[in-house]
Amino acid sequence: MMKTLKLTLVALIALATLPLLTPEAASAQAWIREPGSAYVNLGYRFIRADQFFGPDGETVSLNPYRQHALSVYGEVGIVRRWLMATIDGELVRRNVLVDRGATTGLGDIRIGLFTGLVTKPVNLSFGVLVGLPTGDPLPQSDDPSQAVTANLLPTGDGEVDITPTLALGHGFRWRKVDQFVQATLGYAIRTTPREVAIGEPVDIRDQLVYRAETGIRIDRTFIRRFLFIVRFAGQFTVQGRDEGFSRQGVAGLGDGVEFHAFGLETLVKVHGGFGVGFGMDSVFFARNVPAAAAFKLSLSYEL
Amino acid sequence: MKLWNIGSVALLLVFAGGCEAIFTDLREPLDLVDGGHDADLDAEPDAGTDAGTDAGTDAGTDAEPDAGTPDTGDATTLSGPFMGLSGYNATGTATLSATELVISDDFSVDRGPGLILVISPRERLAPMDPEVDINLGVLPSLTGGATFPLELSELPERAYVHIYCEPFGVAFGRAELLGTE
Repeated sequence: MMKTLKLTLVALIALATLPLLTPEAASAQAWIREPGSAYVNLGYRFIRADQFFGPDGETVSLNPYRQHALSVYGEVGIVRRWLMATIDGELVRRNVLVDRGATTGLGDIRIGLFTGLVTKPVNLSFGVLVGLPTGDPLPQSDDPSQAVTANLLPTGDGEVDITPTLALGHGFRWRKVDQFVQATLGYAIRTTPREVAIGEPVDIRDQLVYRAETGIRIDRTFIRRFLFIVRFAGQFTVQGRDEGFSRQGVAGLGDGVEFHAFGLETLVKVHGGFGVGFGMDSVFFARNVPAAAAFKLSLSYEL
Repeated sequence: MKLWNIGSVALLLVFAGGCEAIFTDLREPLDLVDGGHDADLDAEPDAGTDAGTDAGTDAGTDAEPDAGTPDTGDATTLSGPFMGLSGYNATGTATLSATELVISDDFSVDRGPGLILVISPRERLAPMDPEVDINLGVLPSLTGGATFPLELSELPERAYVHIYCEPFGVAFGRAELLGTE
């Protein structure tokens, strides 16, 4: 019994004193970057869907739909411990309704500021993300017979949103394995889109946005270049749920959009600060989004 | 440094003003000729407000739901209540006669993209079959009654009125119409 207690104590001390892994090659809002330190990730995401999650969460058949997105995520440290800026969004989003029509344009962009609240024993930060309606919520076609199809393939939700976010993170090292865990929780205060495809714009209901992830790196020759990440992420409506979920964004944007997804990602340090990544996210419950896995490739650089 | 400033200002302007998406038509040339639909009917609904832009789904009066469906005999109309599908709500009643389809005043359906009305002998619509389905065009209103003039040579024993999201191929609601004297 005493031996077990001693071992446990030693393990706890070891965990508290050994160098800690931070998800340096991934989005890491719980860790405020040092001034001059920056991270940028350019990603390509592809969705191929023949089914759609209806407002009741059941899947229904859908005319073939494809989505391509070139996204960016960046972090820049501004004030040591206190301030870090982030940006994430879609530089290009292409919605394709096979054999019918496609829209291509800038997606929505979110800019954020994070400040460190606690650094020991865990990292806790608070941030505010502002979503800008840079995408087109109501694309148009010159051909009147294609007006509806164009309208239904938005590249953005058309509204400004503000998301106060808490990010909690911690790093461990155990023998030759480094691990981090991170959880973020945000309350997205949504507003009224400037335009919508169907009817008059109505206020998008507020949502909770969450992400919980863990990553491990094995500290051995060559394989230490790889960071393996597992995550759960999602968003769900918290305002007016009793009103039902009949409103829908056909491209996964707008009111009534919910999802809970499981994701796997591998990030590989290539040379210097450069890295590449690949992964997939698979939705296991959702409303008003295409029912398909999202595959992604990324290039990253850390300064 | 100047270039950097110009780039920053341009980026801010784009962020502030947004950016219009470019639309590309991906229809096959055959679809482009008739707007993507083969319905040969031309009628316009008598009531209701415009619920959206016409996607080339013109309604009309020359086609029959299904030549192979049995005749109703003495029935002069077919009628039945709407029910929601795929998680959407639909209420109200549809009544079909040889000269018109009447949607009751208490009709209501959830908002959806590119909703059209289709008369069909088939319980399940997707995919649409222009040989047997009559496309009445864009649903004129999400609530309230409407009347669609038709010219059917005879009424079938049973028919279905579908509320169908045409661009995405999703069924929103359906009414099974059975004979009434």
